[in-house]
Amino acid sequence: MVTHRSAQLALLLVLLLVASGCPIRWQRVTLNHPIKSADVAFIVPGQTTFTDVLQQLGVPDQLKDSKAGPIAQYDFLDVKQFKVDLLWGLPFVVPALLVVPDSARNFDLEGGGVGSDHFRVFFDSNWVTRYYAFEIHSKATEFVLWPFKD
Amino acid sequence: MTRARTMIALALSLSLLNGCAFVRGKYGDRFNPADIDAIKKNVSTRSEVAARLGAPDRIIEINDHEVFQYYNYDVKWGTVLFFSRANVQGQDLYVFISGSGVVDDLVFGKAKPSPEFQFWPFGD
Repeated sequence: MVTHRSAQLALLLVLLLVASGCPIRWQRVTLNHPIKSADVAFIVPGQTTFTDVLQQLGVPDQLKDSKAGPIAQYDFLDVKQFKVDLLWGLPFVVPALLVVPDSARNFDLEGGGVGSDHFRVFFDSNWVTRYYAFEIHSKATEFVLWPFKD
Repeated sequence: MTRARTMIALALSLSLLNGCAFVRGKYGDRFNPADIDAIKKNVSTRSEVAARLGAPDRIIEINDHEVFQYYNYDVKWGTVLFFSRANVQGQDLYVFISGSGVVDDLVFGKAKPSPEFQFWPFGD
């Protein structure tokens, strides 16, 4: 009887675990391929045209206008997230906790960040490069195992 | 043999707990080269562009030009056990339209590489 009940409990546990998803996960999402300094070394302010930039870097993700001239922007995004449910294994030790709804016996630690890189080329009204610049926040993206640190 | 069985059982158990998945998704249609070839500089009009490519996703004013921007995204997402990674790649097309409503330029350079299926979230 006890064995039969244990088997049922084990089956129930497995079903709950499948339904509740994973207790620990490293997740990452990236948008586009990053552009590096070496990739843009060909750009010479006052000489390089919009067409040259297109040939080397492809079509920009955004085109914007400004009073001084158009701006081409290439975007890159990197998102990292770490999550662990510290109470995930508790029902194995205290099966009575199975009566508690799954959402009420979670103790999730979760941390991560969004790192964005933008590469912008600023043109004059004749589509000749005036200057270019990176906007880099790549340090913002990291797997954070302990969310309470500064 | 016992060890191999144990490893197989462990792998199966882990896959039950967390699962594996490879997912492919798209936002917007890929650009049809025939539609792009049909748009001719200094000939095609704004309405012809809209008829071929549909309403633009964005309209921008640049250098006294109206610019139609079209874009789409391709997503590949892999999950294996505790690790998950999604790669997203965008493609863009710009059509520059002059004040008289005729196509002045069409910007569709080399296609960006397709995203990869990956599940390992570490490294580059």
